[in-house]
Amino acid sequence: MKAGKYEVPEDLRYTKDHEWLKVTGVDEALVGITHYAADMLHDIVFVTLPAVGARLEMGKAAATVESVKSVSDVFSPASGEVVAVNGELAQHPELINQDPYGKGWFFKIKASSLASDRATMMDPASYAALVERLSASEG
Amino acid sequence: MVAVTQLYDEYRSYASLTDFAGYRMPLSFKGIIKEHLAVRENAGFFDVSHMGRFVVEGRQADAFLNRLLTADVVKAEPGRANYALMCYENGGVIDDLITYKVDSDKFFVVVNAGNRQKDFEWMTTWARDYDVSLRDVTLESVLIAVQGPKSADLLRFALGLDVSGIKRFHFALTTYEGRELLVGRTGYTGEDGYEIMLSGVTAERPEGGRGVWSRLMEEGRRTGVEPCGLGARDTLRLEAGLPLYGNELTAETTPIEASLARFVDVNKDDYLGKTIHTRQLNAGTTKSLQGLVCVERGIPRSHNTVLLDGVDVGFVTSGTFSPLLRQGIALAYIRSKLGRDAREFTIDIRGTKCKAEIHPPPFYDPERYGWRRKTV
Repeated sequence: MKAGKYEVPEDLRYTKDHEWLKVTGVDEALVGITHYAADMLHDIVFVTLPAVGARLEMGKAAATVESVKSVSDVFSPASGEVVAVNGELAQHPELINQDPYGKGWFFKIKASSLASDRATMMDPASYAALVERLSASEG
Repeated sequence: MVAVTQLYDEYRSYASLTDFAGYRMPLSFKGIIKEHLAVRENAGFFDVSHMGRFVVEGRQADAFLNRLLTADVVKAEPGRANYALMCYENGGVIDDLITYKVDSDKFFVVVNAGNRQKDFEWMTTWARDYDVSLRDVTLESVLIAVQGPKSADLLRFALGLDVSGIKRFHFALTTYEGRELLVGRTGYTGEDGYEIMLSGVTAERPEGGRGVWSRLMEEGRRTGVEPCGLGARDTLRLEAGLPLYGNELTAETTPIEASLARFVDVNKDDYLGKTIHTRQLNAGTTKSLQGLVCVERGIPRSHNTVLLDGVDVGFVTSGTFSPLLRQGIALAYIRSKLGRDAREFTIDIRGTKCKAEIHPPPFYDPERYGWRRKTV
């Protein structure tokens, strides 16, 4: 679905801080930032990712994303262990702007309680409504 | 209540906006990096109508400004634009600005948006001792910066202006569709370029200014020239090593410390700040502004600490990702006693240490980019 000009894929869950989570296995999920977030940051030029093997806690900073203008934290939407990171982003951070839900993924987490963490997140309709509200207040 | 410039309704539908110095301004149009590179390689144009614009008129206009500013505007010939600092008696900077000398009895002065009121009050206080009058014409004019190696072509084809006779840091007064137009060969990007000030454009009657913007847009679509926002304006000025008031320049900083001694004329008659500036030129300063380039991955930001062998020797005032170098760059105050002869420092970027080397600005190769470039 769409919120204004922003894509909000139906198969993902979202946080109010604009991270997305995509379930890829029984206890595994990919994490990234949304189209809206990438657009708000403008040109993304630098990313720091967690180390593979790092333990993440839901709601805590796991990565940073830097645009020309600013630095933002990316919060992990689930607790668990990092099993893969998107190494491409080191050389090509612009992938986040170009393909936020695909080639612009940040890391893959092996979650300790994926179902319950996922249940706390927003569904696509709720997130689209949030983006609509934020876009309207900027207008 | 946030203000907007006379050009706001012209671009509001296609700009992403940000609030700056009390104004809602374009942050970017198609992307900061795209706009930045357009200015370095082709041309770009900026609405900078938020900047303060004063007219200083009267028999003693030149003597009055010479008392307040670090540049010698008495000696300057008519048609000359001067970059200068306006300082307190203790040498600290009130603002940095550009004067445009029409004649000894008339100047235009362009100041930072955020300092407009403070500057006008300061100048009004000192004007009592002189036969001079001050007028704030910010709301009656628009200011558009056209920057980049192809700027003259853009002005020729979009607006029919022949600007080839204007030398760097000079200006011409002409008329455009019945309104007074000042065309200065000045800017804030390091590139060749022009700043054009069109009079007789108010919030109620913005048509003249909007017409200029739409003609620049139209010509730009044909030639790859981009409208640019404050985002690119900041990365461009930082890549050129130009200071920003509030970051590199403050009331607690002198132009000598900010490595701007070439804009300070201590040989002219007394001016506010001269005693301290002269002393610092002779005896040195306790800190000085330096350019740093990251040799490791990292983007320095203002307030990051600069370390030498683990010891705090200074702080970053502005930092960004250089779109041209594709590296982190910064301007930083380095304490003279500790860091005077060092070439390599470490910048503490939120806990991550990043190696950086001294690089006198501009950060780009001046043979290939900037107004001194060898080829276009």
